[in-house]
Amino acid sequence: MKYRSSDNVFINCPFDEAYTDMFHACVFTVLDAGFIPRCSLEVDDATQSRLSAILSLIDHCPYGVHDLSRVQLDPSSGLPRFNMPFELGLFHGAKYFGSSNQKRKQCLVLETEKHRYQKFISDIAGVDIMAHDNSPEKLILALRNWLVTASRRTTIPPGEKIETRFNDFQTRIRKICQKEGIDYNAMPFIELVENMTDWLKINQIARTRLFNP
Amino acid sequence: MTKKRRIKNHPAVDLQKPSLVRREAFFEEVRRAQEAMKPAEQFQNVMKLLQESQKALCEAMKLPQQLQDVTKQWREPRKALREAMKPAEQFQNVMKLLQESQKVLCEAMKPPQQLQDVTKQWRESQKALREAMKPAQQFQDVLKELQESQKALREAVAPSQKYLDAIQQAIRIAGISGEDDEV
Repeated sequence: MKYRSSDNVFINCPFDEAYTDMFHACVFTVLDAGFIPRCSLEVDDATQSRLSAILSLIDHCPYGVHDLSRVQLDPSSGLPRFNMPFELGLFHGAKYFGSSNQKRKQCLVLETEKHRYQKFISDIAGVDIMAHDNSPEKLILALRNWLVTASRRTTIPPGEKIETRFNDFQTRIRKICQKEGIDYNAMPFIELVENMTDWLKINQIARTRLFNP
Repeated sequence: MTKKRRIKNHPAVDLQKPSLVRREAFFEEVRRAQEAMKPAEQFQNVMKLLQESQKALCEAMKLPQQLQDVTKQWREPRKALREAMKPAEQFQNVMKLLQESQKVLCEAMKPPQQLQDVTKQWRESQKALREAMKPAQQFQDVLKELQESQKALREAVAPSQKYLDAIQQAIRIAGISGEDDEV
């Protein structure tokens, strides 16, 4: 299949174990909406630095989802993690300094609470940030609604539908992983995307247009 | 218009390698197909059993050789009898024809109307003659009675021989010569 960059969505979010459900919900929503989730976890090239890989991904993604909710201090190091705000900055830089294609970039900033970000990253004050309250359901709704607005696509399923299907997928994959003796939470990103993609293809739903153009 | 949403493939995903979900879905479909085939298999088993039972029934229904011979022997006389009955059937046909011809002959033998009239007249005259003979018969009866009565009278008038003998005896006894006298 031909690689279409207009379908890529850069996912910039925490990858810790506590955020697993949220991360999986985010990836599933992007796939179910008809886009391709891209994130630094898919980079497995030892010859390429992680930063250059991230820059390449940002370059090919017209859409970006940035979750800034992990502002807590890391229990082991006692220091905050800055990757998410950094990658958000790179995304904004590409949009501002890039070519005409890059200037069409659009991003969604997510946080636990709506205005908490102003306390630690006031530079982006005024940006419309969506709060998910650490709930996968709210994340799915917020992300879906933003993709509809940003892409103007009419084939994106309703948020409730995506939520239901995500729960169905979770049930299914957990059962399979239990049977196969695989830890679902530790599943690599590419394998996760592969399983989600196949499940969505097998369980296709038909979208009905309200008006025929 | 219904439009299907296209699910895009990630460029890093190996499409040749089946995922867990795809593999499980495939096996599930195979299991479902096997389940769906079960009635067909059961039907085939039932058909097979039916054919075997039919075959066994045909074997059981086959007559033993002796009975076949007897049946054959029974059929042959019947066949001969049917052959023998064929002339009788012909005879019946002939009889039928004969009866029809007789009927026609009777119809032809019926006297003509004139002869019937004459016959009728003759019968009536016979009847009238008998009627007319009846008084003659009566007269004969009366005559007969008369004759009998005359006879009886003569017998009654004529002295009996015994009486005559007795008279003669008496005369003899009385000594009366009367040899020349006639009584």
